[in-house]
Amino acid sequence: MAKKKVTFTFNGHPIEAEEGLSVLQAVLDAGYTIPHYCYHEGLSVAGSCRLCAVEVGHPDKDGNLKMIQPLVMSCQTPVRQDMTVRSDTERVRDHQKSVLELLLINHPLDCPVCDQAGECLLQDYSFRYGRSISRFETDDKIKQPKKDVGKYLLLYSDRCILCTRCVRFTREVSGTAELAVVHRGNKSEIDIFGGRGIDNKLSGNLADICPVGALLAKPFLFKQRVWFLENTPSVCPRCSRGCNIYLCHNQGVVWRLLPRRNDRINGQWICDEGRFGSAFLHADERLSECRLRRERIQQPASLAEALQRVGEHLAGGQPAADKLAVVLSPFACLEEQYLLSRWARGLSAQATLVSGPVFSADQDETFPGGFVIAAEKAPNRRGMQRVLDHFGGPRLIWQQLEQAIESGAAETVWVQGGHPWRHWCTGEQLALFRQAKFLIAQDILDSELTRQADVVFAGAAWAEKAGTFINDQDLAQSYQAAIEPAGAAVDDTELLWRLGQGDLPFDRQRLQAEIADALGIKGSTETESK
Amino acid sequence: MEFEPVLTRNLGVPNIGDLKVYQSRGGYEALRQALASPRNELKQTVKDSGLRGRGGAGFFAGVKWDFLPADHPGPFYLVVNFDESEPGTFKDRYLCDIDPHQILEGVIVTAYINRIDTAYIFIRGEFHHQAEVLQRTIKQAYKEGLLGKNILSSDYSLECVLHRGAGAYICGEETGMLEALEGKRGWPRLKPPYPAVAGAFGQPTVINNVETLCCVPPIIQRGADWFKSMGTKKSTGPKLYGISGHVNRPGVVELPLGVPCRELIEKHAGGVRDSKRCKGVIPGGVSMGVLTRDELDCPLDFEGPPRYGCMGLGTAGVIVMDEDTCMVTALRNIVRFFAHESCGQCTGCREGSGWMLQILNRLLGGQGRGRDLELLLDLADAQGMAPGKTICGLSDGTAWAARTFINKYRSEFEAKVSTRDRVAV
Ligand SMILES: Cc1cc2nc3c(=O)[nH]c(=O)nc-3n(C[C@H](O)[C@H](O)[C@H](O)COP(=O)(O)O)c2cc1C
Ligand code: SF4
Ligand code: SF4
Ligand code: SF4
Ligand code: FES
Repeated sequence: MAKKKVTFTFNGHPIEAEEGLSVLQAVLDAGYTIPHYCYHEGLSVAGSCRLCAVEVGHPDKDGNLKMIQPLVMSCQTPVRQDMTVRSDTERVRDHQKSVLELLLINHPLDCPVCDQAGECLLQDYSFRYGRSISRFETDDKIKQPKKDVGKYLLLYSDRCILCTRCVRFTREVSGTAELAVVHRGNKSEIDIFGGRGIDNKLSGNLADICPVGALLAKPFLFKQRVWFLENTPSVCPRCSRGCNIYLCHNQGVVWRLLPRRNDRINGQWICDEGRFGSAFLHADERLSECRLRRERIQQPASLAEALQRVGEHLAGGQPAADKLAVVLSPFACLEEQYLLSRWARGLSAQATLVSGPVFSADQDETFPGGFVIAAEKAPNRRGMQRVLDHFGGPRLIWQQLEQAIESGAAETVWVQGGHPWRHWCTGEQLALFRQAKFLIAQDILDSELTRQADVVFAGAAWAEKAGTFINDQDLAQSYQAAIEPAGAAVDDTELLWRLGQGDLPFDRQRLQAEIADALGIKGSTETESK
Repeated sequence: MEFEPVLTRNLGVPNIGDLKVYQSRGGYEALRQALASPRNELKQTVKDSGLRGRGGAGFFAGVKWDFLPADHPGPFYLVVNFDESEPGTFKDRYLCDIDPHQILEGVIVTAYINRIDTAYIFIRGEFHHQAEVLQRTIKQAYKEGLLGKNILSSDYSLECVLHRGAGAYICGEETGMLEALEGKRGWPRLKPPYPAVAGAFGQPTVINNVETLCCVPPIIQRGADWFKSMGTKKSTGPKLYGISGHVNRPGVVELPLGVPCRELIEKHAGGVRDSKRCKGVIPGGVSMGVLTRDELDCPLDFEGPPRYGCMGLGTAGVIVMDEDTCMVTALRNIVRFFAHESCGQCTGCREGSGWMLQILNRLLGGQGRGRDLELLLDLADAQGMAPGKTICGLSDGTAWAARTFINKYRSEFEAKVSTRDRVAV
């Protein structure tokens, strides 16, 4: 049920908001701002930093505006009809200055060596709302140590402004409560209990919500200055939830992943597996060029040569194409899955479509804050299923492929990979592929599988190409390429297009329209990012 | 008219901690009377009496009770504030020492009036002896049917739990106390919601000071008019004054509200010791500010101290300082206390009090700088719940103490600014 709307003014601007919403949130939603530290939309209200102060007033019986004497915290004050809110008064400005000055007195101001610099709310607010000088003329800053607080996190206690966002996150969102405030007054510190580190699958979010450079992610430590990074919207490939993310990259390297807000899927968070699981993008084992087996030895080849070889092999026509099996990958995007299937079926209606392996936990993992890590550890199992259902005809599941190869029903096997780990095929499966007459591997990491293939297509990893995943809620989400493919690798969708369409110029829009039409997808979801 | 003691009526009676002895002196008669009366009548009597909270803020007790939501299914809780940690304050402990059953009777009568299911007595951690006494008192009361199911064969039942604090001043702030009671860190809560609506364990809760509750049974027994016959128009009834510092006879005395500060010192505490002159008096616990020796006509009731620039009467824990007292040191000690006891949530209180302490220490060390006094006053202005700058009233105390000490003894503070740095005025 839609909530009642009220109208109030903020520094003279009328704002309409849902009744019961905090002034701060309503102001932020309307595109204005009030400086704030402890408030975070994904957490309970602490009201302790006291930075978000405003003056408020209401009309009295005769309609005359009556301002309330004390300052109120906008994070804690609900909007009311005809309320007047001001953050542009001298009293509010003085108060902001004093809060910022107080936060800096025990702050080391080591911005030059601080990872947060450039996206630090202490820097930003001090610049915009603070005093230009500090009156704290003493060397007696309270010094607190740097602490190792978990697998992925360091805590620079000196820089902490005690907003307690991190404490509330571990209590309310991850439900693990590893963090607490210890000691009192200006000796207060964030710490872990009894040396037991932060151990939860959402811990990386702590580095995001910390408004300063106190909680920092180890994998990103001293890697890049944030102002060099370009953030490209994308979708996480590590499970079928499809969390919305930003790929933060510079000079062809993805340095970190950040959550991109989508209230239908991931809210404001992502899990550690996704966040810290992109090292494979730049692994030494990345396939950077196609390969062909010539006289039993694999040799580098151009894409044209590789495509030609496949064409020659299947030139025998119907009998050869009848015995073609293509293994779709749950890590491939919808476009790739579709094109590969369409190509195979174009050669022969008897060609077999195989669903690739999906690694799965027993069940989804739901956290107290509502965040879900899906059991299926692949982004596009649903897409794969939709493609298989669409094409119909001979279809097998991964486990049935063995029989098909042994019986000779599958002679030529095209294996689509793209898994973020190298050895996704077990020893038994590898032995099985050895029995295939002709093995084509389309993958991103060099492995036992690619080494025994007759043709290897060096594909692009998800961050290097555009595509669409269908998540476990049946939401189709398209994403863009952030960086260039490794070496001479190519966007797999273009590769497969060339395989099927020959010289027809690649037209992604037309392709997506065709797929949407064929699979009955109602347009890709517009992700709600903030 | 000679004042007849109310709260100290049983002072010196041998074995008064024994239930039988307390009863022989009319103890628990008020409870009997209350159990036989309609609740709203009782509440009205308390309202009419003008009884105001003795815990520091002086809020009208009956009015506070009215905030409990009438249509709530319960359970309702009463939390008794026995955290008494304000420097200079030792009246609640005294009440427990001289007459523990009196406290319990106040608890039970108040609980009955407010349909309370469970009363928690939150006692300061350092009060080992008093905790033992109260525990014994509660046990006796259970045994004699004064607590538990069907109290004195009525249909009213009440459980009573003694909860010992872990030693933090901030747990005396009512919502810090609720958090501590729930087993959490004693961090004052944001208000609203107020405890009357969502207090202990999220249930409607009445919170009162020990002395406030002790006033309730006599009011029930003797009526609102009798209570109002003591004290002043807006500050009714008797009050315990705790006197400490440089006086000949420190201790607790019971007097009608409104006794002038000078009279309290001269007549009831034997005057300033060693025939010295008085320099200043803290009227009600160190958070209230200070009265100079020229302000001793100040009546010690809820209205008096604010007229002299103080925050209020507070706990009426009066600290007398003689002419040899260094006011800079006195303020430093006070600020040291507040800096140490700040729970650390609010930026202004956490960082401000610590910074003030640093400045005061350098003033004392003769290293004061030209702008230090302005800075101290600025920092005092950066905190306090009343101006909306912090969550609770602890930092109002820091601010009022600093403001009144510096403004009223300015020259003494200026003398501590190093000569090199002193600015010509
Ligand atoms: C920092 C701080 C400490 C307090 N400590 C006490 C205390 O020790 N005992 C007490 O009764 N009230 C204390 N209070 C006042 C309580 O918050 C509350 O107002 C009082 O218990 C209400 O009871 P009353 O209305 O009967 O006075 C304190 C308040 C503050 C802000
Ligand atoms: S946290 Fe912010 S202000 Fe502090 S050192 Fe880092 S960048 Fe500078
Ligand atoms: S570590 Fe960061 S998030 Fe946690 S309290 Fe400190 S500043 Fe806030
Ligand atoms: S004013 Fe001080 S003691 Fe009170 S809540 Fe804030 S930090 Fe804690
Ligand atoms: S954001 Fe409102 S008090 Fe911190």
